[in-house]
Amino acid sequence: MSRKSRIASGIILMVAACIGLWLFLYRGSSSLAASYIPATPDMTGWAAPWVTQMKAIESAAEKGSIRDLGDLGLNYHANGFFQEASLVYEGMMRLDPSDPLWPYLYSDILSGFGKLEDAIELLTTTLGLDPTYPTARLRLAEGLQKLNRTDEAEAGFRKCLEDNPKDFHAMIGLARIHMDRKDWDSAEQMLRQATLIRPSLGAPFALLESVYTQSGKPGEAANARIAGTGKPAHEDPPDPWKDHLIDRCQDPYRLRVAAATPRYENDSLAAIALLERAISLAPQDASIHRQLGMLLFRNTQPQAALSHLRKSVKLDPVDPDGWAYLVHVLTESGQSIEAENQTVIGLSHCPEAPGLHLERARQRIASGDYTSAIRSLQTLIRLRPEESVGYVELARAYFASDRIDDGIAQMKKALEVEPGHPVAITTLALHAIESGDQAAARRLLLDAKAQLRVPPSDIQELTTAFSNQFGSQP
Amino acid sequence: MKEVYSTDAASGCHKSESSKKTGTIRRNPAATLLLGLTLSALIAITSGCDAKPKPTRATRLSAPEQVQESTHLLRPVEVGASFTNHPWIAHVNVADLDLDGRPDIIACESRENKVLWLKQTDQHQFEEIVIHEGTPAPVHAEAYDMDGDGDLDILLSSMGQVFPNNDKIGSVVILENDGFMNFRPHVIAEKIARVCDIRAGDFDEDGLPDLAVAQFGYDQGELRWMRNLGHDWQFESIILLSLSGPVNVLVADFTGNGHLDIASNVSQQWEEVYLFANEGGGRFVPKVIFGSTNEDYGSSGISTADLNRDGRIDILFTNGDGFDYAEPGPRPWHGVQWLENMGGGFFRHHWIGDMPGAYSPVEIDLDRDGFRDVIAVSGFNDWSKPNAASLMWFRNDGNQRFEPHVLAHHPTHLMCAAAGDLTGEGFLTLVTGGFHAYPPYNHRSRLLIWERADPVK
Repeated sequence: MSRKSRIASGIILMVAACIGLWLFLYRGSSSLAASYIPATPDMTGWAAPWVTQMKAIESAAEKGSIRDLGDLGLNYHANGFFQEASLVYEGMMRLDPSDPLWPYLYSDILSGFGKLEDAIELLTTTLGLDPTYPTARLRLAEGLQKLNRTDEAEAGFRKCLEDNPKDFHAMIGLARIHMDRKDWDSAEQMLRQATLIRPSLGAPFALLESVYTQSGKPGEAANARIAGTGKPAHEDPPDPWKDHLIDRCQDPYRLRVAAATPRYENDSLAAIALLERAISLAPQDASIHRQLGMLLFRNTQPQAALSHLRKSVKLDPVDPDGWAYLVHVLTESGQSIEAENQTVIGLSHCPEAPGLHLERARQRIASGDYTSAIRSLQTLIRLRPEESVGYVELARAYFASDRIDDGIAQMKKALEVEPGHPVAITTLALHAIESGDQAAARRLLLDAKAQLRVPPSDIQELTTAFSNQFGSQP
Repeated sequence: MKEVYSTDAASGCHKSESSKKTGTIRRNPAATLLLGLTLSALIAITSGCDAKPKPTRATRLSAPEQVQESTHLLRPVEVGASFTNHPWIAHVNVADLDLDGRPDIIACESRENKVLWLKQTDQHQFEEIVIHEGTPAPVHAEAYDMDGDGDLDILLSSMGQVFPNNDKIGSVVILENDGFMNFRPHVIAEKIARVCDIRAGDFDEDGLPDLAVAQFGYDQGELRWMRNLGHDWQFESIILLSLSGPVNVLVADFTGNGHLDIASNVSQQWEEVYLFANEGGGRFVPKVIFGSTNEDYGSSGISTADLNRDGRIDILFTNGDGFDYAEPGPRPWHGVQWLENMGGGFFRHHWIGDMPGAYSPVEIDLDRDGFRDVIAVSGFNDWSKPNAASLMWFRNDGNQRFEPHVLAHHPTHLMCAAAGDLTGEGFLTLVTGGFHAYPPYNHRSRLLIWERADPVK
C-alpha cells in the first residue's frame, strides 16, 4: 500500500471513528435521558394547555434534550408529582452534574418526606458545586441539627453567620444548640440579636421566654412573651432556587395554600396574584373567591373584596363561611343595611351557620333589639358550645338589658370553656370587687395579672377599684 | 517482543491473549486504535450494546405501594351513648379500669369536657359512664395506679382549649379512684402551657411513680417530668425541653440500660422526635432521634412497638396533622413510619406507607399471621374524594415490608385509635374515636369497635 493510500485510509478510518463515537455518545445520552423520564402520571382534571405542554416537553426529553428533561422535573416538582420529579432529578444529577440546582431541589423533596440523611448528602453535593448559596448551607446545618450531629450543625450555623452576620435563622439554630447545653447566656445573646434583626418574627421571642424562664428571670420571660404575641412563629429563609417553582404551579389548591403561608403573609400583592392565578385555573371554586375576598379586604380593597365574596356565595350558597365573610366585610365597610339583608339570605341557605347567628346578634344589639340578639346568641351557643365568643356576647347583651346576674353567669361559662379569656376575667374581677367578694376579687385580679393579654391599663383600673372598695392593696 | 491481539467481538472489548498464536497480525498501534474505535462504535450502534437502561429506575424517594381494598375485613360497631351533634373524641384507650377481668374503653370527649368509661358488661357490650366532667378540653386519659392502692387511677391531660391558644390554660390532673369507681380530681399542675399527654414511670427509681408530661402550648410549649414527692399528691417539675409543640410522650427503657426513658414527638415548626435517655435516677440526656426540615411535616402521633420482634422497643410515628392549613386537609408527605431501635439509643428511620392525615399508629397483628402489623386512622384526608381512607392497615410480610390496605373509607375524621384484647381470646380488637370539628359532617362516628367481619384468609 502506497503512502498516499495509507494516509487516505487513515483519514477515512478517523472520520468513521469520530462519527461512530459521536453516534455512540449521542445515542447513549439520548437513551440515558429517556430512561429518567417517568411514566406519565394521571393528569385527569388538570388544565388542558398544561397537559399538552407537558407532553411536548416529555417528547423533547425523549429525544435527548437534557434541558427539557430538567424542565419536566421542575414542572412535576411544582405541581406535587414528587415521585416523578425525583426520578428526573436523579437523571439530571447524572446528565448535568455541574448544576447545583438539581441536588438542591431533590434534597428539598426528600427532606419534605423525612428522608434527612439522603437530603443531607445532596445538600453537601450542592454546596460542593456552589458554596455560596446561603439557603443550602442553612438547610444543611438544620438537617445536621435534627440528626443530632450537633457539632457539625454548630459549625454550619457559624459559617452561615460568617457569610451573613444578619442570618437570624442561623442565630435561632445556634440558640437552640446553646439551650440544649443549658448555656442560657449564650442562647439569650443569640436570640436577642435575632429579635433585633427580625422583630416581626415570633420564634426568637418564644425561645427567649423559655430561656428566661429556665434561667430564673420571670419578668423578662413575661416581657418576651408579650413581645412575641401575635407574631408568626416561622418564616422561610429566602430561597430563589425553590421559590421560582410556584411560577410553574398549575394546581389551584397548591396555589391557595402557598398564598396562605408566611412566605406570602407580608407580601399581599404576591399572594393576591397567586389567588388570581388559582381562580383562572378553577373559576368555579367558591373557596378561592372567598380566600381572595378576605385577602383583598385586608389589603384595603373592599370593593374588589365584596365582588369576590359575592361570587363565592353565589357559587356555593351552602358554605356558611362565605356568607359570614361577606356580611363581615359589608358591616366593616359601613353597608349595614346590605349586611343585614345578606345575613337573612345567608341564614335561609345555612340556618345552622354559627358566624351568621353571631353577626345577626350584633346587628340586633346595634339596633337595641336585645331580645332578638339574645335568641341568636343562644342559637350560636347551642351550635358551638365549646367556643367562648357566644357566652361573652350573650353576657354583653344581658348587661345591656340590665340582666346583670344572667350576664355574670354567661361570663363564668366563657371562662369555663376558655380558662384564660381576658374579657371574662376582668369582667368577673370587677363584679367581685363591686359586690364586695374580696377573696374572689383577689383571685381574679391575680389571674388577670397572669394573663398577658389583659392590657396593663385594665389591671391598673382593677387595682384602684379594689383598693377603693376594700381599703387595701390586692 | 511480539504482541498478539484478539478481538472479542461479542463483548466489544479488547483483551491481550499471548497464548494464542493463530491469526496474528502486525499492526500500526494508531491504526489499530482507530479501527477498534470504529468497530466498537458501529457494533454499539447496530447491536444496542449501549445497554439500554431499564424503563423505570429507583429513586431515593420510596415509591408508594399499590393500596389494596380490604374494607370487607372489619365491621364498625357503635358503642356507648348515641349522638346527634359533632363528637370530639380526642382520645381512646383500652384498660380494665374496674379490674373485673374484662377490658374496658376509656375516652375523652373534648367538646363536652367529659372523661368516659365504657364498662364492658358482656362480650362487646358496653355501658357508658361519665367518670369526670368539667376539666376543660380533656385530650388524653391513661390508667395507672398512682397511689399504689391496687386500683387504677386516671392521668388526665387538659389542654384548656383544643384549638390554637397560647394562653397558659393547660393542667395535669389525676383522677383518684377510691376503689369503687368514684374518681376524685387532683390538679397536680395548672395554668401551664396546654397539656396533651401524660404517662407514668418511676424515673428516679425511688419506688414512686413519677410523670412525663407533653405540653403542646402554641408559641411556647414544654416537656417536663414531675417527681412524685410521695405525699398529698405533691410533685416537683423538672423541665426537659422548652419548645412549642410536644404532642405525645412515651415511657419505656428504649436504651436497654434498665432505666425508664422518655420519648416525645415535637411538632409546630420543629418537627422532631426526642429521646430523653435516663442515665439513672432521673438524669436525662436529650437527643434528637428523628427530624424533618419540612416545617409543615405535621407530626401527629407516636406509640411503642416491636415490629421486628428483636426485643428492643421501636417507635411508631405518624405525620398527618392538618389543623394548621388554610383549609384543613392532607399533604403528599403524610404517612406512617417507624423508628427502629438499633440499641444504645440509636434509631433508624423507615417509611411504612403513605397515608394522608395519618394519626394514632397502633401495632396489631390484624391477620394473626404472627407478624406485627400497623394500623392508623386519618383525621384529615380529602373527604371530598370517595376513595379517601379513614382507617388503614399496613400488613407486615415478616420482613418489615408493609403492604397498605384500606380498612374503611368512612366514618371519616378518625383522630384516635387503640387496641386491646376486649374479648379475652388473646387477639386485639381495634377501637376508634371520631373528631368532627370541621366539615363534611355526613359520615360521623363517636366511639367504634371494629369487629372481624370475615374469618381471616
